[in-house]
Amino acid sequence: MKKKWSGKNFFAKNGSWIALLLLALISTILNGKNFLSVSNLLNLVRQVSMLGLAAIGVNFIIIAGCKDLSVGGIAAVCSMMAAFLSPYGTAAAVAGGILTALLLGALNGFLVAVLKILPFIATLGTMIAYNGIALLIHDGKSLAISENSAGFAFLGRGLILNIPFPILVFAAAAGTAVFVAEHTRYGRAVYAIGGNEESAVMMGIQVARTKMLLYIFSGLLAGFGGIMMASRLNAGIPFTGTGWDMYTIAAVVMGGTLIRGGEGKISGAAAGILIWGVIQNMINMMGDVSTYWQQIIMGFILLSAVIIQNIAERRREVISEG
Amino acid sequence: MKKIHKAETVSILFQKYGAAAVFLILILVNAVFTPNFVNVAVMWNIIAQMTPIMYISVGMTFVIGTSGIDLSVGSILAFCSIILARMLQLGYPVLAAVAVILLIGAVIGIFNGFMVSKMGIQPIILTIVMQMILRGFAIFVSKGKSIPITNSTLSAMGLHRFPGGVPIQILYVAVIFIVGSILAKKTALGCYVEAIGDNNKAAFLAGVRIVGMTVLIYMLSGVMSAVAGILEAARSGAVDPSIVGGLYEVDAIAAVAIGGTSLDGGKPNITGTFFGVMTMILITMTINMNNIPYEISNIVKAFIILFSLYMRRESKA
Repeated sequence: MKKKWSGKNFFAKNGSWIALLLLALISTILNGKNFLSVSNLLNLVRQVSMLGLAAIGVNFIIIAGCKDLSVGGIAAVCSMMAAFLSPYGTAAAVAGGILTALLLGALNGFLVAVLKILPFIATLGTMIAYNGIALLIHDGKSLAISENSAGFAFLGRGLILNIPFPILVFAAAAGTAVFVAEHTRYGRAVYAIGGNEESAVMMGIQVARTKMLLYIFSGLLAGFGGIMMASRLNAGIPFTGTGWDMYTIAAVVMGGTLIRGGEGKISGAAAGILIWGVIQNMINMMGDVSTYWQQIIMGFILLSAVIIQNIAERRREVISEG
Repeated sequence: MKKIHKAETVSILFQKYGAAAVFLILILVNAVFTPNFVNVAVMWNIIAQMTPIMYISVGMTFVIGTSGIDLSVGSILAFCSIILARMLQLGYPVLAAVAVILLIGAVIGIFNGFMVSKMGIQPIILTIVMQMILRGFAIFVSKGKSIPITNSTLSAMGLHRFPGGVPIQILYVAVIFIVGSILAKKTALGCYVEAIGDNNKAAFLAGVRIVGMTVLIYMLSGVMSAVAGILEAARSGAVDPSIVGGLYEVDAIAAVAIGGTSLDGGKPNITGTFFGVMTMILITMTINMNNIPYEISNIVKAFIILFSLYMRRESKA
């Protein structure tokens, strides 16, 4: 039976997209054509697409009631690995980076799913470790991409039909993720685990395997983000992904996913990451704003987004109970 | 019928005395492998260095006990210590400056507690945001430059050594250990924290004033971070707002977790946290004495933390 359409419910469920539209509207009013041009919008999305990739993985993990703070570390190691292997050709650089990502993700999964260490602490530990590894690869210095892998530049700077390659990757990953979350058994298992792990076990869901896969996916996405970053900057940089641990959580929460798990939409994370992009774009257009002011403004906008989302959330609870 | 494996009894032992056990293991390992490990001077230095973490960890223990988390502690420390440095630079007396930043720490903590308990915002997301904002404000205060500490009274508070090279910080450690233990064990606060952490709704129905208690606990964490800011400024010759207190939340959370306070909330274990911080100190010492380069040191640190958590993880039935 289809529920009756209700304006309140619609607002509460799509709060993040509405917030995104509002922000875009404000930016259009403030900046006019500077904001609403194809080149600016593409630029805006491209800038957040690497972070967005990582956020998709983190969103899944949070829906399952876990955390992944190590995504920034994984991005850093993969960016360095790709640069380190670039003398052996593009294929080696990309494959090496992806393999590293899978491995680091699997280590997270092993700690959480097999050793059953609390996800927050486990990935806090691996975050420290991965950042250390990234520094170790080239003594804490950045490492230029070798000329031997000419094709590598395409990952971060290539265009297909005038659309930057990172955006296409981000869109494809988001689309696949939405499909997996909403239309597959695996997706439902993730929601079930986040909702109530004990009942999920009783229902016969293989919790450990599901979590293991989640962390491997998350590692892969974050790692590929790091690889694209290396391509974009033409160098592996050990500080790639600094702050991604927190930014991804912020984007996911802005997208309407509950941090305690069991509820949330993958499309919400996409909205969250785009909100992030619009805010950053607006700050850039303000001209000469020092970084600390950027940080403060960003923080306050985030804070108000979380508060608004929270109020909407409560209304939804009232509506669904009433 | 279930056989009790040897490994299980070991893990039960670790659950109870985990932090102390890890601490002992580290001492043993070091005694065997580290050349002239018992270098007292180095030990005193590291204890002096880690005292701010001790204060932050005590506040964090209570917050984590309520099943919350406070990721803003490092930034509160930075904001408070830069204001302290700025006020001293402008010629205010030490006492006034200290009073002001304790107040600032309390106000930030109250704000955090209010947002968490009254507005129902997830502690992790709120304190991430506060971390960003406060770090931004800290850098704003001095326009990104570091401010030297020239006040002799304050420096004496951080650099004084008792005979034998014993740093004054040993007093501060004793004070916070005693105060923290009393708060956790001898006052109702410890019980309330546990009640809120175990079951928020049940605690509410049992008449615990959840909002008031939560605000109080986050305020405690804020004040502890402010005190840590004073200690940090007193020990160092200058305060750099973009560096000071960075990643302290990680050390504090690790210390609390190693110490046996459950991250899902529950009884605040101050003794455990004390050993947790001591373990972190030992880890740092191990790394320093073995000349392990900085890049590897973090990896080693991470794996010791993970190992100790694995050893004392709660066995699920």
